[in-house]
Amino acid sequence: MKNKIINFIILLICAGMIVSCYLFDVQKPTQKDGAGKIFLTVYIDTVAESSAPKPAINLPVEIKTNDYSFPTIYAITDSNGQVLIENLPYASYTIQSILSFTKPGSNEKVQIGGAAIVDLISETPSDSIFTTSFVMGSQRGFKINEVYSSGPASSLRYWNDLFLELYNGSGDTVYVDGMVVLRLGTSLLFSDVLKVTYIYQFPGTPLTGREYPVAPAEFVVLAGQAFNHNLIGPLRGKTVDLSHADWEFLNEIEPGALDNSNVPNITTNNGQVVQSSKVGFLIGMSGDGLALCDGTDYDQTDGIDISTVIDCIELSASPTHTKEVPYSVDMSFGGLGLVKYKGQSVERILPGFDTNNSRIDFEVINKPTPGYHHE
Amino acid sequence: MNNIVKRICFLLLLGMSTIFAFESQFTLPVNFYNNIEDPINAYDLNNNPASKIYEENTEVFSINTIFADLGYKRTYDPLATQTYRADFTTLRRINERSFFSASITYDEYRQQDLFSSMEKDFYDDYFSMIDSTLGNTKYYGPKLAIMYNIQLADHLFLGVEGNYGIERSLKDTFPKTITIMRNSEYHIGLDYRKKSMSIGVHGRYYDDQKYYEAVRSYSDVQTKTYIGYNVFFNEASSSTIKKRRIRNGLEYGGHFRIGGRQAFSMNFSASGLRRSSKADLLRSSSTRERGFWLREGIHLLGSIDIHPESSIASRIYSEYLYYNDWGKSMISQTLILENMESYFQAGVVLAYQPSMIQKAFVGAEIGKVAYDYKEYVFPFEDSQTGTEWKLYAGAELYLSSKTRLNFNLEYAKENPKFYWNTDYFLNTGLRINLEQLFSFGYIEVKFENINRKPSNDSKSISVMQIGLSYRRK
Repeated sequence: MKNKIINFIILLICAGMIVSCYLFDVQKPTQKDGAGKIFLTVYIDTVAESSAPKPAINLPVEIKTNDYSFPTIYAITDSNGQVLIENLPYASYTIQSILSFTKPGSNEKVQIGGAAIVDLISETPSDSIFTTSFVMGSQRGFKINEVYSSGPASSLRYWNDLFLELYNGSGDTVYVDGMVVLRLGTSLLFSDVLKVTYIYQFPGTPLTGREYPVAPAEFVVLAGQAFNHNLIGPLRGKTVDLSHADWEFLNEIEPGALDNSNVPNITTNNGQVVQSSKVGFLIGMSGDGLALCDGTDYDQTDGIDISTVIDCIELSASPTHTKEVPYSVDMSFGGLGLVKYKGQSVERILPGFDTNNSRIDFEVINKPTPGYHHE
Repeated sequence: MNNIVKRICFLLLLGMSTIFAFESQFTLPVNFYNNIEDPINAYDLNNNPASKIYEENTEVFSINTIFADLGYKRTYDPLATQTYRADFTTLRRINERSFFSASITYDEYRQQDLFSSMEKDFYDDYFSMIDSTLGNTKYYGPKLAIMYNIQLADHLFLGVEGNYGIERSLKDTFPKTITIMRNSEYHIGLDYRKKSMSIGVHGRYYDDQKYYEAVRSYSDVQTKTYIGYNVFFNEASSSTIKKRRIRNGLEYGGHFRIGGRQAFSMNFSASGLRRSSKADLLRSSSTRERGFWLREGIHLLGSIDIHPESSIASRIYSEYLYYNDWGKSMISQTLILENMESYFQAGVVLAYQPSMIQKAFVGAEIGKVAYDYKEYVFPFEDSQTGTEWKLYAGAELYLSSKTRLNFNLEYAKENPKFYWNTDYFLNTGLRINLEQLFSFGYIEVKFENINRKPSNDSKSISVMQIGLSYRRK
């Protein structure tokens, strides 16, 4: 009996040892990180001079990632407008270049830019090279230039200091008469209509009105509440003065809505555009879909026709955000890494710069800049 | 002599319950002279629970406080720590063939001005998380350890040992980082033991799970997951960040001893070790894997004890620990680091005991350490070898028939890893134990002070421990 017990215990221990060998049955990867390569070709759009873009020679480019604490890499293109960037971690990169110069024959300063997104993944063989290119140009128009809605750095949990900034990057005066500003809902990604949560309209007649001009290179600030938010004690010095905003959002059925009589209003529930919400204009603190449309379609009950869109953007702080705005008006979303209640804002990399890809076009900045562009 | 053996074994058991941190160690540490009451004893070199001997019932209650002032520290170390510990251990002989021990420990470990780290020990993992805060953290919780040893047959002993602990913490910064940790360890061994020899095998499995949760107070929680020690991955900020770390370890070992305690004995033990560690980020509905790393190693110990005369004893000893790690990023599915470490030390200790009331010992050891650490995400490499040494001496005196004093002094050179940013530390240590026999039992007061001085800075690390224990026989 005793020997049986001893044999049983020894057998049990042996069985346990054998089974435990399978506990850590894992394979060491063969491919090392930090081996990614990008082969970049940059062109300059010279449509005015010839029919084809030319290689951008000796052009400095920046390669940066939001994924890692990895310093920005700088490279310069060769005589073919090409550069090979090596030893990169597998991550998502924004490659961009901004070129400033004075127009020949005049004193006009011009900035052009170009950018590309590269998602380097390790599934490709370690010796393979990811190839990409972009064209430097100035693709600008009347755009939503900045969105600030993340709240100031304060324990007050304040978000009413939000504003939108528009910028006229075109060479012509633009008239905002009758245009509508939309906060978007979730649309089908290949839809030709935009689902709408809020709709606000500028006064005037769409397309033909000439009462509210915006000159070239002019910024237009649309305030959620047009007053100096720094007057709120705990926020002093931490937020923005919107008392001189160009426009103020006003929901005409909002009980007790604040209205700065010195600032004209963009209104909703005004007898023409209608929305069910009775609160003022709000934007998601970590991102949202926003659109500026010409106002010819203002009946949002069946969605807004995508052909009326002047500019449309989607922003989200989270890289895993599920896209909500159709690809035809924004290929991706910007604002990655935006943090709530830290006074951060999202602005285009150049005033009015637009590639229809918000991930390229926008960057997170540490301070809102109503009425001007960040350095 | 029998009493000495009993005391040694008891102190060893007590030490096991108090020296070990909450988490199970990769390898069970052996300090050849740590038992200053008897630096040359036959039972230190063997962690097999079947090899433990105890023949008398005992109960011990002890309280300890440890204060550490980290004047010199790494980036993610706290500025100071305080540990308060209460421990109750009981040992019971069940019958002539078996005994049982149980111990319950309650720890409170405070970290003061901890910069950013959400971890208890940032440097203990390759996928540690940080946030953007500076604050104080308090860890607290109980740990239960039990052991059972039985003689199965003539000279054949079976030992089983287990412990289970739960620890919680709260960091008093705005994300109010909460940590919940659970650790369990199971250890089983067989020992065939005679007076002149013993041979045995043992196996150890441990499982450690940690869960972190940081919730925003007014600003979003901004966390970063380090990939190694030099580059971090930016996690998306959100209102709540949750992380889970799971560790599993396995150790198999064997030992043999030739000779008894009287004149000559030779001990050798070897063990193979493996530990996996996995870090995941938890979202409300999904788990995002961040990293996995594996550590494998071997641990060899050997000693020769010689007792040429009844009053003189000597030991020559040697230890070799080697392990290597590799880490995989579960984000890119690639190898992101490799690490190799080896430690070799050899030493000699001489003990002189002219009478039962006086004993002195002196020892020296020399060792070699080698580190080879590589990161691949952002290329980083640190490779170094160095020599370490240690000198120590101590004594035991009976100040009266009921009062015993032990003290130990040590002076050592230590080669740290690169993140300490110094070439070496010079360590000085002093330990004093004073024990008094009363009618109701023994009261012991312990004092220990260790100072670690880096080679390149005037600041140092100072650790002071004060303990009080009551032992009833």
